[in-house]
Amino acid sequence: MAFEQDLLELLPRLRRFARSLTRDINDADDLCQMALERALNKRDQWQAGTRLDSWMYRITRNIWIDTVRAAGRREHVANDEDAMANVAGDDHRRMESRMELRDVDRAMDRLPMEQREAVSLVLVEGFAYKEAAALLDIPIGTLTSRLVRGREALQRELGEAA
Amino acid sequence: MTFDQQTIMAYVDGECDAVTAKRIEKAMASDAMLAEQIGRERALREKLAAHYAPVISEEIPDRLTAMLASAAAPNVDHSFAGRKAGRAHNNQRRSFGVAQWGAMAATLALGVIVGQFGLDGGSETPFTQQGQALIASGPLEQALDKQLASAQADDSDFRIGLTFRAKSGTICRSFSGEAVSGIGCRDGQHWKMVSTLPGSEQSDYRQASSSAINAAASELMANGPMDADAERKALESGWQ
Repeated sequence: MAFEQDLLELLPRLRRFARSLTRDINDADDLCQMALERALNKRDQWQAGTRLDSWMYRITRNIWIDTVRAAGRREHVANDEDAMANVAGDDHRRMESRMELRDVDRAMDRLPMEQREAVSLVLVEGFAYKEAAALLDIPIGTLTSRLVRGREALQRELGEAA
Repeated sequence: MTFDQQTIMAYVDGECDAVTAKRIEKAMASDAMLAEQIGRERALREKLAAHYAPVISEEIPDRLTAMLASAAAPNVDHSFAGRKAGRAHNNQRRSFGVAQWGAMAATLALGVIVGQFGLDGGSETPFTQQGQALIASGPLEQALDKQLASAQADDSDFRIGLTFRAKSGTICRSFSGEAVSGIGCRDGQHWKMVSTLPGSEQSDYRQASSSAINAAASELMANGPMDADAERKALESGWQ
């Protein structure tokens, strides 16, 4: 019971993490759902006393990688057109603010996967470098160089507005 | 004094040692460029955090909380196979609403499919039922048997997605259609459905459907999807 309760408390953060990885709300919740399913099936692999959040982030991230690789790159053009259609009815000011939000989504989406996950864990989820590197199974130096490149790309896309 | 990008970033992320942090702060007082650069990095961090922050206070979809609620109940097998088997003898408790649909994603959704098509085995029906299994028939069987992902006719009812060998050794193919999408795996001379979801026509499910199918496929896969050559060879050898 406690395990499920702990997962439930983690869900808002997991959903945020999934959203920053996938950009799309439905894909993000699908990802969370698969992560929960895997966690429930493999609960005996989680060692009590270790951080459940890191374990869950790692599961979520691994499923995301598998899913994206299996599906190949998605069609961004179609997604962008959908997004435009959705804002068409809004008044101008609201649309502008929505478009700005969309800029972040789009800029994140353009990052290579390994930069996106690093940016997401550190800048959005607030993990320390050491924790994020451990979670991704990479040395800290690799993490920080991915962060530098990811940040540079985001600054190029979002710089003036930031 | 100049600081490299990595050091500036570490400072903004609170990952600098105290001595370096002091040096940066001292330098910032006289170096407007440095101060501006740090300001930009901070703004980026804040912008990203602010952008995703609202997700935290969103209501969590029922399909996610329902999974945890049912998991907290004792003696529940959460594997796909276990849930399928569980449903088979729990039929009297099956009253799934829209919220639970997602929780069933990528598992066999017999009820909906039966309701939609009937299973009389008519020539236009994409499925027939054999015991607990759902077997491709009619246009779906045609597509799974003959259609290559690399050469699909526009007027075909179904589009083939991935072809792959499952961990069990059999060949499986994912497909999508207006009414139903899913994955069929070779079972003798038939294609047995291992996963079905409402198709593209049901717009509520459209996105959930394609990513759930892809996720289910990646779970099943032994290696990776076949390329066009391997797919053609598999067809020529009767999908064995």
